Amino acid sequence: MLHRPPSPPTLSCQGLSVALDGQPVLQDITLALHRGWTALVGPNGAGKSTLLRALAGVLPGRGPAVTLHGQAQGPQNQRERARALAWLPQQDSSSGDLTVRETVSLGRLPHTGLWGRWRAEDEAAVQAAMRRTHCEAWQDRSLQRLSGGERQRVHLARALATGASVLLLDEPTAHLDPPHQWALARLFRDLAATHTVVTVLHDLSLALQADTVAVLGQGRLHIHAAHHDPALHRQLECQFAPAVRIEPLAASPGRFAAAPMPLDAPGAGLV
Amino acid sequence: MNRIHARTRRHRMLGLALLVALVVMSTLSLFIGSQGLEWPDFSSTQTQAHTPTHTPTNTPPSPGAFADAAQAALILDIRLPRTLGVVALGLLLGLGGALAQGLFRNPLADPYLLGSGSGAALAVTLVAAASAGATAAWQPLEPLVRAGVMGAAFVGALGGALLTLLLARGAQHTHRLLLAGLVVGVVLGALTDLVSTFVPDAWRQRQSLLLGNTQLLNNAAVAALWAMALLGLAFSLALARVLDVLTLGEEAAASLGLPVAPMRLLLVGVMAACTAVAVSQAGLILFVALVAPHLVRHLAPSGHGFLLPASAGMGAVVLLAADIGARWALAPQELPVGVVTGVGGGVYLLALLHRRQPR
Repeated sequence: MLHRPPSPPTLSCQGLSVALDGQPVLQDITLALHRGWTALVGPNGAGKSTLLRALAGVLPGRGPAVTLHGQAQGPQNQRERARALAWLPQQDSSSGDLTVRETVSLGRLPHTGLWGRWRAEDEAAVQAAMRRTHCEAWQDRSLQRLSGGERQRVHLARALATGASVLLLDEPTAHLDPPHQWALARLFRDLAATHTVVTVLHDLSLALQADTVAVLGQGRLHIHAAHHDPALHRQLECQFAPAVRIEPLAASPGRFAAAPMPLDAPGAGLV
Repeated sequence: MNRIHARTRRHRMLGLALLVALVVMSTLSLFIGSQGLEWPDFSSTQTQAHTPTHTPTNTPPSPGAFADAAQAALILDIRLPRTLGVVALGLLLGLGGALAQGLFRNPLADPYLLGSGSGAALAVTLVAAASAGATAAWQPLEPLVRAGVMGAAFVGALGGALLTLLLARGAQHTHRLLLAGLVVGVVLGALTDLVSTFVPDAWRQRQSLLLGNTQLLNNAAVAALWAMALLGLAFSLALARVLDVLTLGEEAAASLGLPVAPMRLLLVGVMAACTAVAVSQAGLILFVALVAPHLVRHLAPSGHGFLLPASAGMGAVVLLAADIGARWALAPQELPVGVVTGVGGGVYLLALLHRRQPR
């Protein structure tokens, strides 16, 4: 069964091209995202983060090619977009001495504005977001004193606190150990029932747990298909050749995983 | 949710400690002169208040009364404006430092990084060079020139910051802003050197600006400093949340709907204005802006809603201490306060370096 609901996509882009410093990074990307979990994968330098940033509207000068809830995105409706879409950058470059709770509270900015009152519903959204990512127990601790993985969960809570229905998460499982990666993957699956979740992932096996997988390579979108689509598996093996082979998961029927190729297998080496 | 967290308690403690320190140091500053501590003789003033009923009014006042009057005048006319001025200066420097460190997201940033210091130095040198001949020819021009130097420092400090903003094409990118500030600092510094090579008289003016000085604070200076300090505090408190959001990074802040470029521009404007007023009244007093927010963060980590006013208070306490030290250290000679803050700041940074060394 293919995940193609008849409803219009929540987030889409049409013929999106992006050049950074004169170098084309994305070329003619057309992508339609619906409610559910989509994993964005591709080799290093494929343009995954740039695509996510373009969709999030944080690339300067981009926008008209992106449509959110049927509305063309421009730079004028920043706050409105922030209520509908949350973006989590790849690298946590946060500074300062905010506590976990204060950091998550920043997610309410699109609702409260800079000088608005803090209402009970804002506090409720913040507490619910922290509960969902399991960081409410250390909400009074300083963000800078947490480990990389813990901080990642805080930033995810900050994204959830916006109440946005579209979540664009750039490598949310980086710095996390397997149990935490697994827990996050379950969270994405749960969120997918109500949200449009897009995650850039490096772990192909984790990516294949998503509803759909989009494969980028050299700035182009090669395929966007359901996780069990054989064409997707072929494309993955091709893009990540000669490192991986996609195999069915014995433990969960209908699911697949990326198996590493033996190191002495014949291959062309890194291209 | 009525919990009082350890953090909130620390904030209250530090706030209280700063207030107490401010009152104690201000009092000390009123009564410490180049002769050391000079407590006023309250008992003698009290007896004086009662004596008129018993003594005829036509007897000459005692020599003690003369001394008391002179001391009262010294405290009211010289030390009071100086103390008030130093407090406001400290507020401005501490606030400027906290704003700079929040804006550049760097705990070692300093408001002078934006080119305000070098801009002020160049402007002062230019005015001094232009008027060097004039004052030599006609002494009454001296106060006019001094006012001109103050105005030049203000315009130069603002101009340096504006030039930096221009070269960085706005305030949106931290690295570009820092690099542009560096360029402006180097180029304006070279121009200042060039001017002072040709007009040696200007070199002295420039030197006194670079050293920082609190001896010349008069009532007008105090008014200007306090007006800017209160304005700066009001603006900073209103913009504290902007700095909190910016801790996430510029793009993440933009993704939350924050208009990053105009907000940063506003913050740079407040910081540059605070610095320009401080520099114009007392020259370049180093390290207070850097150290004050540092101390606050060390003692009570917090968001900017507390950090900004607390850094201002810490700046006032630190500068008061330095000013008292400047009067006391080599009494009856007085050191430029910039020398004291320079040495103190250097020692502080060294201690920091030592403490942060990997074990």
